[in-house]
Order: sequence, then C-alpha cells, then structure tokens
Amino acid sequence: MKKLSRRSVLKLAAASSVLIGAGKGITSNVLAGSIELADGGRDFSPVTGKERKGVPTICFNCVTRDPKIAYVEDGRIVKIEGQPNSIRSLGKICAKGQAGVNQVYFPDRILYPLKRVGKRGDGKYKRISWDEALTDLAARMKKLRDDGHPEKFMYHYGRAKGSSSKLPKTVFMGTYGSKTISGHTSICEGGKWTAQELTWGKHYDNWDFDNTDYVLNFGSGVLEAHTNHIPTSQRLIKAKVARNVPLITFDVRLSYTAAKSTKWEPVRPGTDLAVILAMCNVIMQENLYKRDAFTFIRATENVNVPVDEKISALKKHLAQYTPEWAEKISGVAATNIAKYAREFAKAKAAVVISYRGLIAHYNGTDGERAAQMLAMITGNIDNPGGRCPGVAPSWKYPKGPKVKPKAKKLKITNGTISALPTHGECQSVLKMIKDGSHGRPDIYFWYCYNPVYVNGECQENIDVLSDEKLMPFTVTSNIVYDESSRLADLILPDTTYLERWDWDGNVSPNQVAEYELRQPAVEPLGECRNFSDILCDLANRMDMPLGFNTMEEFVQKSCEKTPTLKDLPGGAFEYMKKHGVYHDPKAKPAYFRHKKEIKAADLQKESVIFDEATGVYWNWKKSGAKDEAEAKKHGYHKMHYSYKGYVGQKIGDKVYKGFKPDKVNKTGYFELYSALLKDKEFAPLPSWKPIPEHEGLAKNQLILTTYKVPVQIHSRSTHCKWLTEMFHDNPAWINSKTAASLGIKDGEMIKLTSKIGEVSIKAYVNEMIVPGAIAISFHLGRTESGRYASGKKSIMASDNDPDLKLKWWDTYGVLPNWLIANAPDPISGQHRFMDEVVTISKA
Amino acid sequence: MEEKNSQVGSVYGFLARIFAREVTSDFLEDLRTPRFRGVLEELGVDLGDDFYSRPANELLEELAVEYTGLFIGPGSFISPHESVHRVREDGDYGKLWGADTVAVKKFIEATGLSYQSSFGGMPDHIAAELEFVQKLEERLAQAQADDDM
Repeated sequence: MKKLSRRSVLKLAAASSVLIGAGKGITSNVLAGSIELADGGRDFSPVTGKERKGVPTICFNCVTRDPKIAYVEDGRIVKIEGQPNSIRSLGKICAKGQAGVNQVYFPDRILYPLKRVGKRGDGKYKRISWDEALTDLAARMKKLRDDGHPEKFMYHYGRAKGSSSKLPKTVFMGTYGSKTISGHTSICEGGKWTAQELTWGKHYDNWDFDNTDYVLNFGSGVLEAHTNHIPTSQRLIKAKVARNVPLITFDVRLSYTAAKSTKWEPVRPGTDLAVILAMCNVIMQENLYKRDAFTFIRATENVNVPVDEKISALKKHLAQYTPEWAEKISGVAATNIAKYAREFAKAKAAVVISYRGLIAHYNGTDGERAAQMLAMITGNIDNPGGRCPGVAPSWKYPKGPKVKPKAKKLKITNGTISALPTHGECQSVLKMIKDGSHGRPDIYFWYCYNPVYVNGECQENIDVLSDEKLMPFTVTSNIVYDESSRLADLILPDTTYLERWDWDGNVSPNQVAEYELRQPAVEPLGECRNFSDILCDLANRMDMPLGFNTMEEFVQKSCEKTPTLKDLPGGAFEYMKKHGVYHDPKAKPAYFRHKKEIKAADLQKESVIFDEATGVYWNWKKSGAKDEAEAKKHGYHKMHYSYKGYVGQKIGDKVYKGFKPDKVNKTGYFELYSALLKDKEFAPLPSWKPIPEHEGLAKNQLILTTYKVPVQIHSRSTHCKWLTEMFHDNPAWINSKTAASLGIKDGEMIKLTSKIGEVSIKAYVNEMIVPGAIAISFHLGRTESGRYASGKKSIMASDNDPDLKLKWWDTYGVLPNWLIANAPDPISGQHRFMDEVVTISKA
Repeated sequence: MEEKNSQVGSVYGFLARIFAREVTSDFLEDLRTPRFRGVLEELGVDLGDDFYSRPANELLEELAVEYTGLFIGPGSFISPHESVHRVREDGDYGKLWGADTVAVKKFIEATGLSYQSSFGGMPDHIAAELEFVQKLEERLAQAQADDDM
C-alpha cells in the first residue's frame, strides 16, 4: 500500500460521507442512540481507568460556597469539579474551587497541636497531645466561667458560615455564657448590609440577571470576586452574551468586570454616591419614576403622607444633585449620567449592583442607600430582573441546653465611633483591647481568621497580639501557620473544609432556596481535628454538654429537624450525603413579597399592638419590654428589640407584610427616609458626603484603592500552589498622567507613606486607573503561610511535595494593609478600605 | 474544521462497516462505484478487475466465506475483540468478555449510546469501537457547528 497522504485520506472521507449521506451503504451497525454530553458528576483515573470515588460536598475557598464533587483515588483527593445538580452554581466552579486540593496537601500545613515554649512570636513550639491541649484550655475557660467572668473568653472568627457559624457562636458560646464575639464582616461588606437593613430590612441582595434587561454596576467585581461569584457571574455573562443586556461599570480601575462591560466609566474614588444621587435626580425631575413604587416608600418623617407628597419631597431633596454637579465631583460626564439614568428607568427590568468600590468609604452607607433608592424609585426592587432580598435555605438546628446562663459581654466589638454597627467593627477589636477602657479578654481565641494580616494597621495588630499583658492567653484553630498563628500560645490544627461536616447554603441567584451539605471527602491529615468537634469536646470537659458530640451529629440532627428536608426519601441526612444538594422542585421564585397582605387574625393575636406614629403592628412581647404599658410608652421606634416583634405595616386601609426589619427598628416601608439615622444626627435621606481626607490633596498625594483578583482568596489561599503560581506579584497601578507628573516610570520602585506606615512597591504605569488614585491588590505580601506564599518554611512543615522543586517564583508581593488606618464608616463601622491617602516618592 | 471532523468520522464509519458484518449487496454496489474505486486506487488499494466485473451474487458469497474465515472461524481466525488481544498488567486478558469488554461497554454506554440488539458481536468488537470514534467525531463537529466548545 502506498503511504497515506492527507489528501487521499480526505478523499476517502469524502467518498465515505457520500455513502453515509446516501443512507443506504454505511448506516449504524452496532450502536444506537447518540452521544449525550453528561453534565459531570463522574470521573475516571486516566492511568488506571478506574472510576474515582466522587464525594458531593461544598466549597469553602470563598464565601460563595459552590456545591462541588471531590474525586478521591486511593484515599487522596485528586480533583474537584462542580456539582451538576446545583441550581445555584449549575455545575460550575472557579479556579479557587479547583485548587481546594491544595488546601489539604500543602506542605506547610499544621498537623499537630502545638504549644508555645519560647517568647511569644519567637516561633518556638512543642508538639503536645490533644488531651494536654484541651485539658489546659478547658481549665482556663472553666476558671473564667466559674469566677463569673465568661465574657473574658473572646471568640473571634473570620470565615465561618452555616453550621460552622451556628455551632460555635450560638450553641457553644451561648451555653458557655460569653457574648464577647466578633466576626469579620466590617472588613468585608458590613456597610452594605447596614444600608440594606436600614432600607428594606434584609442584609443581603440578589441580582436577578436571568430576567434583567439593564445592569448598572457601582464598584463590584462581580465577574472576578464576589460573595456569590459563580452563581451570579455566569448568569450576568449569559444575559450579556445571549440577550445583549447592557452592563455599565463604574470603577476606579479597569477591573476584569469593567473590561467585560459594555462601558467602563472611570470614577474618582469615593464619588459613586454623587453619580447615583444625580441619576435619581434625573429620574425624579423627568418623571421617569414608577409611581406605584412610592406606595411602599418612606420619604418623609411622617409615614402617613400621600404618594404625591413623597414624590415632591424626594424631588426637592434631589434637585441639588444635578449631573453637572456630579461630573465635577466624580469625573463622569454629565451627559452619560443622564443617559444611563434614563436607560435604567425605561428598561423593562433593570438591576443596580454594588460592592466595596461603593461601600468601603467614609460615605459608603449612604452610597448603598442611594443605590437602593435608584432601584426602588424605578420599581426594580424584589421584581423579576431587579434587585431582590436574598433567598437562602432555612435550616433548623439543635440549640444546646434549654437553660442557658445570661451571657456577658466585653464592649470591644463595635468600636466607639460608628452609630449603627449592625455587623460589628472587627478592625477596631485589637485597638479596643489596647485601649482597655472596656475591659480585655483573658483568652483570645480566633478561628479561620488572621487578625494581624487582614485588618489595617498591621504593626499595631502585631504589637497588641504580642503583648502578654494585654493578651494573657492566645489560641487559634487553623490549618496554616500564618502571621497571626505565630502569635498564638496554643495552635490547634483544624481540618480543611474537605475533611469536615457542615450544613450550608448561600443565597440563590434564582430566588429558590437550595440546601447544601458539606461532608469529608477524606480523613483529616495528621492529627487535625475540626474546630467544632473540639468545642464539643471542650464543652464536655467543662461539664456543659451540648447534646451532641461532633459536628457530624449536629449536622445529622439539623437535617432531621429541617422541615423542607425531613421527609426526603431514605431519610434527610442520607439523602443529603448522597446528593449534596436539595431544592424543592415545586418552589416558585420569590418576588414582590412586600405586597402580601397580613391576615386580620394575625393582627388580633394577643400582644400584637398598633403603633400610631409608624403605622407598624408589632408583638411587644418579643421587643424586650417588661409589659404592654412600657412598650406603648416607648413606642415601636424606641423599644430596644421591637423589630423582632414586627408583624406588618399599615398603608392606607390595608396592612402589608412590607419590608420586614431585621436588625434595626425601621418601619415596614422601604425607608429612603431613615428616622433612625436622623436620631443619630445623620441626614435621613441619602445625601452627598465628601470624604474629608480627600479634600485639597497635594500633587504627590494619591488615594489608595484596593482590589481582589480572580485566582486568590482575600487571605486564605496563597499557600495553594496552583493559585500562587498564577498570581504572586502585585505592583501598584498608577495612571500614566499621574506617573508622568511625578516623574515615575513603569517598573520603578516607589515608596508610599500614609499616616500609619510605609511600604516600597514597584510601579505599574498604565491607563487602566483614574488619575490621582493608586491601586494595590490584596492577597500578597505574606510573611508566613509557608513556602508557596512567602518563601518561608513554616515550623514543623514537611517536604513531601515534589512540586516544591518546581516552584519558580521568588516574588511575594506587598500588603496594602500596612498603610491603611483601621477607620470606620461613621454610620456602619465598615472598614474604610478605599479611602487612605498616601504620599508617593521614589524609593 | 467542522467539515473535516465529520469527514474523519466518515472514515471511521466506513471502517466500522467493513468490520461489522459481511458485505451486503447495497454496500457492494457502493464500493464498486467509479468514485470509490478511484479513491481506493489512490490509496494504493487495488481490488483487481475481478472485483468490479464479477456477478454480485458470486462475489457476495465469496466475501461472506472470507469474512467468516477471518473473524468467526472455524480453525485459525482473528477475534475482532479487544479483550482477546490487549495485554493487561493484571493478566485479565486473552479471553472473550474480559475486563476490557466490561470497561469498553461501560465507557460507551456512559456517553448515552446503547448497543443494537441485532449486533451479534461483543461490546468490545472493533466495529463497535470504530463506530464509537465515528460518533465522537460527529459530536465534535456538531459542537463546533453550534459554537459550543
């Protein structure tokens, strides 16, 4: 036979095609049907061909918590894929999710309980047994409790969600009797949550991209790093690609999201609020608002005014905010502001989205309130295609002993400045401990958190945490020896999320709740033990049994208690273990919930009273009032917890479910006008507030902005080699005009100085950032966390990763937090991550 | 690309047909067209004038006997099944319906295809495997046509 040429094969192919096409010669002989592409869910070893064990579980590399499947071969996790049955993620995960494998097997992982033996911070530790570690800790905690000072035990958590939030925070701490608890929300999105609580009650919004026709984005990197990243980003891309939905992004820098947008509108840092106010003004003055929406809006002190009065009050307030005025402040062209306002108002359904670019500022709470206003006046709240209060699963769980002590608290978790820190002020905790006026914890226990690194003012954080007089005993449960672990007296090796149990579930992008279960894909490495399991152990050692002994038991009982799950075939727990996710197939997307009328019978129940001043029906017994007389005397607005008894809002002659309050005593209206803020001497309607430090800057003073990249988590991923190989350097972005005026060239080392500290960093000169700003990403500048993250071997690390020999990078980037003050937004306590002013010079 | 992929699929389809069963009169008619003869000759395959001129019923009978002798028996024949030939480290080979038969069947069925009941071979018959590759190529071409890669 002749040598086959490409040409002759193609001829044969063409001839064969004819035979197939004629339908008489070559028809299917053996196989019937057609190849269907599976959505995933099975995997095979490419070497042995054997099917791998697939364990349905939930990601925890970021707070999105995508359902996924971990594939296990010979007891080792080899691969992670998305869970195809999830209605949230639709089977997709991101790079961070796939790198979850690295979380388990990175060579610098802590595998044994360690007790400090040298000076704190010297890095000298002794391996001890779990029994020795927990006997010591339980004795210290028991003494505090038995001496009547359980509040001197402080629990400070970072990423803790679902059952890993409830078991430690509510059940364990509640049974122990300490409310000295802080989260980390104020360094994330606390200001957004407070603003939403002030306007519509719930703290979290969903963006209904599946049904929207127009998107305005103020400072969200939704396509790269969002708290519900994969579920929302894929839907936004689909809306944009399949339906050509416009996406207008206002951002200080050309983020990946901005780059994928229909239009990037560069905006000066901290001025988005001015743009939104001007848009609202255009919509009101040009009568583009939805009149119906005003039925549920509060725009005046008096809640009982007719719609026309509300409209005219808002028109009057907003008249000062013209597009021309906003252009001068923000740099965004007035014509564009007016154009987007009109397009947004006229779209059938439109959604305004926002995140830290809008809210991590001095004026952030009002920024988010203004975004809420823009959505509400155009009828784009809780509607298909608009901005909707989030829908999440409603898990029931065992609450621990029925009789619990009255919990005590050190007032160190809310700072001293902010008016309504509904999600705390975590960045001020160490400062409050240093100050000491409100007491100090004897035991400071942090979990999945790195207080030294993630807050501003790193040096002060180190100083406080190092000082044994201020901090007598420090404990952490962690997987990695990071910047804070090195200041712990006791290090308890935690399991990774791939080795533990949890019930969980984040907000659904389609307004239908999904229940999700995390289960161990493999046994914990070394002597690692799950944090919640050791709390159960500690509780038993302190003679305060919680009613379950492990997280697995807690999760099983929760499955059996949860109404939606308890009747699932084969039992709720077994079902969830097998499938990983569940949603009610009959559930309809939740919209327009505020329009539901309250039944007369619910208003006539005992202890439900009507408050004339606000029009709210409320159950005074849930408000903390001693009796009905006290409740009536103070009224709904002034009782401490009256929002907990909220029943409905009277509007005209009807009573509606309205916008139910969650954390504050707002009415059931959508409150554009906030009497609560007025009480605290803030403008009741969303109003422009310039950022004081940004006024009159010198030529060499720039506004520092921060951001996240798609392949790293804020602080928990640089030890993951696959991620850090992709991102391990973060030069500072500077606009070419700014750089030229300062004589700075691309790649040159520069020095940045703030009132807090100083860093040296390489300049990245480009046109992708507004003049006058400088941008440094998070994630990097590690001084610990192992060889992949910092180049430094952790204590008791192993060398069992052959890839250590392939590591090729020796840059570890710079952390902007050394420059940033731990300052709060005066309303919410939100950390002002985007406000710091730095002076630039050549290094 | 699209056209080329589906054409490559046709080659596999053609080969699958060759191995699947004895040549039928329809197939013989196609094979004897001048176009196909040209293609085969270009590939260096000369079937001889006899093939193109003999009465079809005679030729079909002869080809059927040859097919049986080659792939079915009796005596020395070549089993067209993977499990008989492919050496496995675990030693589970050299027999009909072996470990590889199971693996091939599972793999093919996992893609949504099924075996026609009329087919008399084992699931790892070379015709099944060639036809599977044909269908993969066709699916690839379809995905490219749909811009769904």
